[in-house]
Amino acid sequence: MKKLNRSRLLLTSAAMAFAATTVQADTVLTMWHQHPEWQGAVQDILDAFEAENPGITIELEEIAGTNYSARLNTALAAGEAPDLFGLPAGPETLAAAEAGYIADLTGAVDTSNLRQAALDAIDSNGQIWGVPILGAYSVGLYYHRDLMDELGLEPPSNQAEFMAMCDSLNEQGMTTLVVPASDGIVPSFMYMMLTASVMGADGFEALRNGERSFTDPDMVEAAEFLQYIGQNCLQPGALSTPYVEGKALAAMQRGVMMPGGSADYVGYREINPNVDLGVVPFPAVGDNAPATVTGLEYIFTVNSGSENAEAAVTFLNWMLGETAQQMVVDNITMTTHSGVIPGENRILEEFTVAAQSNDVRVFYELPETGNVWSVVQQNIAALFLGEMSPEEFAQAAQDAVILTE
Amino acid sequence: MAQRLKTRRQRYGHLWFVAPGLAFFLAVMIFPLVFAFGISTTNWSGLGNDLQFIGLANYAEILSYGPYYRAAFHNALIFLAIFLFQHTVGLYIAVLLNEKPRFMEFYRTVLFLPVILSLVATGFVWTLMLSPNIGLINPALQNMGLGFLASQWLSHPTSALGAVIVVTAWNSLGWAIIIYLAGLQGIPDELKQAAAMDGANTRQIFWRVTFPQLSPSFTALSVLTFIGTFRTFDVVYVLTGPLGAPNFGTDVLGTLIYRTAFGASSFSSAEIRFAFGVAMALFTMLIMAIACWGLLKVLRAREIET
Amino acid sequence: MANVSLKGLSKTYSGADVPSLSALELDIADGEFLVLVGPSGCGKSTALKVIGGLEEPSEGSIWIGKTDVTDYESRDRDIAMVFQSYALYPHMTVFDNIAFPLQISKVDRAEIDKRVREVADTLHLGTFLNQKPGNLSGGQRQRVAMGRAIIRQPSVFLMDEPLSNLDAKLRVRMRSEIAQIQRRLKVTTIYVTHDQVEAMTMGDRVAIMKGGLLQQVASPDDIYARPANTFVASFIGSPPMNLFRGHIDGNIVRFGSQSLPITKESLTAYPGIKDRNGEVILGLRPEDIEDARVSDDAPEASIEAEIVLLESLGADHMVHLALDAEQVHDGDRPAGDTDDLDVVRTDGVCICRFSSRSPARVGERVTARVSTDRLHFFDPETGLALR
Repeated sequence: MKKLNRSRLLLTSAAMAFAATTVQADTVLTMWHQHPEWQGAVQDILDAFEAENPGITIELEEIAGTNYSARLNTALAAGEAPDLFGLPAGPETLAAAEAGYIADLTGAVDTSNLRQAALDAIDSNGQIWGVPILGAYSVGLYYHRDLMDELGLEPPSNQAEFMAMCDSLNEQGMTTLVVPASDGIVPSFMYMMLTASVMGADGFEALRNGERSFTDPDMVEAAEFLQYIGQNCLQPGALSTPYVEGKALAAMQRGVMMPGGSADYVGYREINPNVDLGVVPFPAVGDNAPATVTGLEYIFTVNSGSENAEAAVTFLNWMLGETAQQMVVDNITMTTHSGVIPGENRILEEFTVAAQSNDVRVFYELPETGNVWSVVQQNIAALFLGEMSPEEFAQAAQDAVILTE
Repeated sequence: MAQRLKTRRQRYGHLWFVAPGLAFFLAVMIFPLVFAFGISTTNWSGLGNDLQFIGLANYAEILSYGPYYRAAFHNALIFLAIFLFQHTVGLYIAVLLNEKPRFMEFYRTVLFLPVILSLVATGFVWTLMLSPNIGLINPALQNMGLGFLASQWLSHPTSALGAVIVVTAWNSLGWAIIIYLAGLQGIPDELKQAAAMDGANTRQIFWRVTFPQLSPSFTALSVLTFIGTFRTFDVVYVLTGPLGAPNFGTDVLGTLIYRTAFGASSFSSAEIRFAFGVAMALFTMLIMAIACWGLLKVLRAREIET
Repeated sequence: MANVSLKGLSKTYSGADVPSLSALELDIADGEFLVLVGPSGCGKSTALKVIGGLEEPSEGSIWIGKTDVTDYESRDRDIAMVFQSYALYPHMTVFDNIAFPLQISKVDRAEIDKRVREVADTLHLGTFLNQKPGNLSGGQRQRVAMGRAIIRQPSVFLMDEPLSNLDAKLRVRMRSEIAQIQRRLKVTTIYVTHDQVEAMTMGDRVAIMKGGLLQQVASPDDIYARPANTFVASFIGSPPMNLFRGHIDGNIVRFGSQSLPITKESLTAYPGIKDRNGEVILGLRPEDIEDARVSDDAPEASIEAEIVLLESLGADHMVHLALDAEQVHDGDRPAGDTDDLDVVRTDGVCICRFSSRSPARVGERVTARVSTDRLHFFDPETGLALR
């Protein structure tokens, strides 16, 4: 008893001394992220982390996507970037690594629980520069279940069905697809899904090897279909609809369907709590299997100049753990953790099902097609306006492919 | 020797008083300019420390860079439109206000209000009004029986540029009015009375007596308009985004330089070329300085000496 | 060339309680030089603006020659005006300033050139024709303004205090130049000024106004010698006429302890005082009072008083005599205006113009001779001359 008391005393004093030093040297980590609409959900996770790690405080700043990269790049060049910041996996992260902006996390972070696909996406020749702590996403086609029921429609799975539906809805004065096209991002996802339906995951690898091309006749059909959609099936003024307005229009049933990612559901619900959505893969070009695309949310990297690198790594490891990932999957989007089972989340389940059809990784995460993304994004308006033919559009995309061999 | 020192101190001693201002000017104007020029002679992408000196290659590239000409052409169109608008509508309203109508203070305040509003805020409001989905303008046109005029304003390159011009015009009208009104109020009534006595009718009085007296206002406003329109950025950024949508139909030098230097895509920074962006900014500055100098020289020549 | 008739001309500015001009009746003969004079706010400039068509009259009509021009625009009245500020067009050369009225009426170029040069010669402006007004002196600008007015050969000239921006010396010279030009051109001229010297020296007739009302129109000599009322009497003349409350007692007029005889000349000039016993206002011009010591003759009438102030002007002395009579003020000194040096001694100061030969000194008591043939008499109720 006495002995026990003594050891307890020792323990307590040691703990107190430890606590005292950590309180004195309370570490503050700054963190930038590009999803202001997730602020609340992310903050809940951070609070949980801080509760478990009393010595570390995280200061989260959410910056809207349109301004994020400009601000981050400027801050990086000026040496004033935060301790932790998100970057798109793939070429972007690699560029930052080559520039010396981010710390090598190989061996420091525990990636054993990551799903293989996620691990593949962040592994660059055996090195790890950033980890997916806020999940992954798939992009497919949302549809209003109630509205479709009312109209007696089924979600289309291929080009012919989609075009028939578009024609009939046009006659009724309704919008088939809500697409915010002013910044070109959502149409670029559509182009990825359309080409994905043509080439599939294998074809995408062939494309990266130079064995397949965006200008292949069957691939040009994807651009033709995209042009058709852009010219016939979108809400009025799609080319000038900003992202947020498009999301609101979609949630408010100003169109029957809209392309969207697994993480978008939170936003739709926030705008319209009664929204009743279902998810399918995006209709295929011709008779191909309809496709989805999948990518990681921005992965988090540690500033190579950070004085709190150790705390940052602690944070990343905690985020990769079960507690955090359960919160991600329950409140935000799909997790990259292999052991976490989503709670009751029908939409995520539907995305999982949809992704079984024909899932391809997003172009921008791969070095060969990193540039294709921005070229497509910039040429979308020209394609929709008819100032660029589908052939020219496909050629421009192909020209942006970087073949390593 | 001491004598010489003393005289020198007497002669140049006053320069110490401008030293703080000069130091400030050097620090915030000259140094950044020189530094920026230094950057523009490299191929720095904006990321990392990987850069080489490439001389004036960036500047040479501008000369054959299509998007630069396209953007500059859009700036020129905006300038011409705003220039015409301010010197017609702005002048006309100023003349009306100068007649001291009832509620003049009210009109003046209302007309000047847009100037003090943030362009970002006004741009955002206009975006909402012009939206074919949630906007006010199309329904208003329909209710006035002008439904055929309703349009997807920002979705066609031409009408989108028109919208940029309208918003800029709306926003800057107050300046034109205030500058012209100040000019008009500086003209003695007796000059107009004298002209009336000399047999001139209202139109002759305006064109032969009043208008020539406004040439300092004309000069000031023209130069301000030139600088303002060639610096356009925020209206375009808010109305049609950093890409100058649709299909670069509203791309101006401001957005082009911004995009080149900082990027416009959240998923790829592949096309970011910071040094080239800086080169375009400095090149534009130089051209504008020369143009302003020419503009002032031409306009000043026809101003009155008093 | 034409005569000008103003018939019942009134002007009340919107928002004003009092008319600026009431029922002005005035006939100006063809070729006459009429000076409108009065203190500021008397309505003289308003009258000019109404005649020029720069303001609309509230009532009444304006006739030029045989035409009623009341509803005509300025440009249709065939009037030229010279402004106080000259109102030259600063962006035009002197040539264009002078030529402007002809250019407006689309006169042939050669003709314009000829006439501008004629006018420029008359006004000694030949060497300045290519200059802009900003480079000219005040006097030169004034002449340009004149040139612009005369080149059109209008039927009427209106001049609004054209000399008031010039220095005193130049003013004297321009005064005679303008008068000469007018006499040569024989253009009907209405000339507004607040300066009584200009009024007296330039005008064929002088019209004196006060508070929007015409007080008197007459030749300068008449105005001076036979003022219609106390206002005119004290407005014209420098220093002004001394006015005292007095009392007529038979053929003697008393004021304070002083008394003067009423002469035959007084009775002729002011028949209203005949058989009038009682209150009057007596007017004495300073120049009609002289130090009795200057002349050997025994004064037929005199006043005796102490000198309280003496201002020597070289040629003569302005002598202020303290009188125990009640002084009356009228004219450009509104009631309550205490901006005068002699405010303390306001009652009973009589200003006299003594010749420089007078040995008068401050503080001494003098006997001053009064020219009794030039006394003036006014009704104490109405202020009107007792004619």
